[in-house]
Amino acid sequence: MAATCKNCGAMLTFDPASQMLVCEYCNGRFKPEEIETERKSYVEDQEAVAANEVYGTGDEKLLDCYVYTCNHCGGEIIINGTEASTKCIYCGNSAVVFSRISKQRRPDVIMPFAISKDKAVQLIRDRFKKGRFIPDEVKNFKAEHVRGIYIPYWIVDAKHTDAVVIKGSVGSGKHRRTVYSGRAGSMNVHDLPLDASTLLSDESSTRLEPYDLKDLKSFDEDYLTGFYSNVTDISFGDMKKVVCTRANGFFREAACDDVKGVSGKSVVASKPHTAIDYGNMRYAMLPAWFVTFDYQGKHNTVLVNGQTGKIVCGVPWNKKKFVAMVAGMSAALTALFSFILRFLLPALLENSDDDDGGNVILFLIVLCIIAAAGGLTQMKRTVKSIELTQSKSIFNFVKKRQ
Amino acid sequence: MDILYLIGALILGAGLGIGTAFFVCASMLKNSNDMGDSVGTSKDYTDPAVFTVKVDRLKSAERECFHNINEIPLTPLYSEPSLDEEVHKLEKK
Repeated sequence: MAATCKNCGAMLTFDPASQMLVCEYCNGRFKPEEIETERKSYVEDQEAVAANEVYGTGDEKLLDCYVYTCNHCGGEIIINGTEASTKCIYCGNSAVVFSRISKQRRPDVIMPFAISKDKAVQLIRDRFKKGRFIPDEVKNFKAEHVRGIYIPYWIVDAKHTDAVVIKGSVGSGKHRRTVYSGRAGSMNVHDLPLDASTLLSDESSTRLEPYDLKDLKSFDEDYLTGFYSNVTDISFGDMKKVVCTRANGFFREAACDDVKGVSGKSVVASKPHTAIDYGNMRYAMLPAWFVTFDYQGKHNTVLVNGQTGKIVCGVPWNKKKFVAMVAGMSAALTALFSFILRFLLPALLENSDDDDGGNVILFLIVLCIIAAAGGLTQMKRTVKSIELTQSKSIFNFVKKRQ
Repeated sequence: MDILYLIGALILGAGLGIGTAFFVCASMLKNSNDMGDSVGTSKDYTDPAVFTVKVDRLKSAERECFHNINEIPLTPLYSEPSLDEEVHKLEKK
């Protein structure tokens, strides 16, 4: 289906800035709901044809591909089993929306892109410029692919109940002791968005949150024009696992917050139960930009929330600059601390009894270990984030489109 | 004794200096290169939790069985779908 201009018949594409369908030729602008519905119903009768039927091959690799005919130029477009909209590689028609949207799993709601392609790239460049350890080549990256993709989500309500035992400690020093508290109750979870595409990792999609669901609109195919989209392909098992894990985390957090005057709190026993409201779920399309660039032979994919502009990625770092900074700062701080301790140690050790002197040294050693461990934790999180940005799965999610 | 204090100050000073420098630089690296490391929180997706039982100092025996309070939690509204089934809306029982 190609949404065409009422005035000149050229293709229309959705413009995030004006939230209208725009004609590049005559500059006509139309609201998606203004486009007549006969054309949309025509799409419902179109059938996808398996690649094997078209090409008569028994190659198993083609089983998951479907062939569509672009109704603008007649070119054949091959897509995988979960894509719902794409662009024609022959004529660039960006308004190819497939019958599977109408026939199989039509979304209930959609959040139109509010961030344009140029704006998304500009947001990334602006943020990269602020990065102290981002190499200059990355700051001036050349985008290999910039793709606006509607990610399928299930928006879920659920009720969670649990009874948890929380371990913590009260007092300090010699008076420190462990205490246990109990909290039992329930919590309503509402509007929890769950990525419904198995091709995109949950780790990536959850970091795109939060979306402001007030901007959701009733689904209309015309919002997909100019963008790519996928359809849901997760199972109830996948959904249940994620909802239970997240609801459980929210309840535990609330229970720990409710226990006052206790430090180092952690849940040591629980019996959670989550009931998903399966009849009240909404199938939604939420927008994200995927910007891919190469650095040192590796593909990096930056995600941008298509509504809020939130950037999600871990960027390769300038290792030389980092090591130089650690070395320089270490030398300066070592000199400073040594100078202070040179005078502080004799005063502390000579004017106190044996136990106190030992405690001071022990305290300083523990401080060194805490600082190093804290640094290591931060490094691990950054490296993990970089690995996620460079993961093949996310690159393939973007690349495997026409 | 002075030399011992000097050596002690150098060793501890180096430990503290390197540890602190590493922590500060790693934090700076995270701020610089790790973007969007946050997910939706309970404030975004939940109503405040309602606690029906609160016990602040559980005794040893209570600790072992407290979580069993949640034995019969919710009446199921739907027939539980097969875990392999593709997600779709369900009708209430």
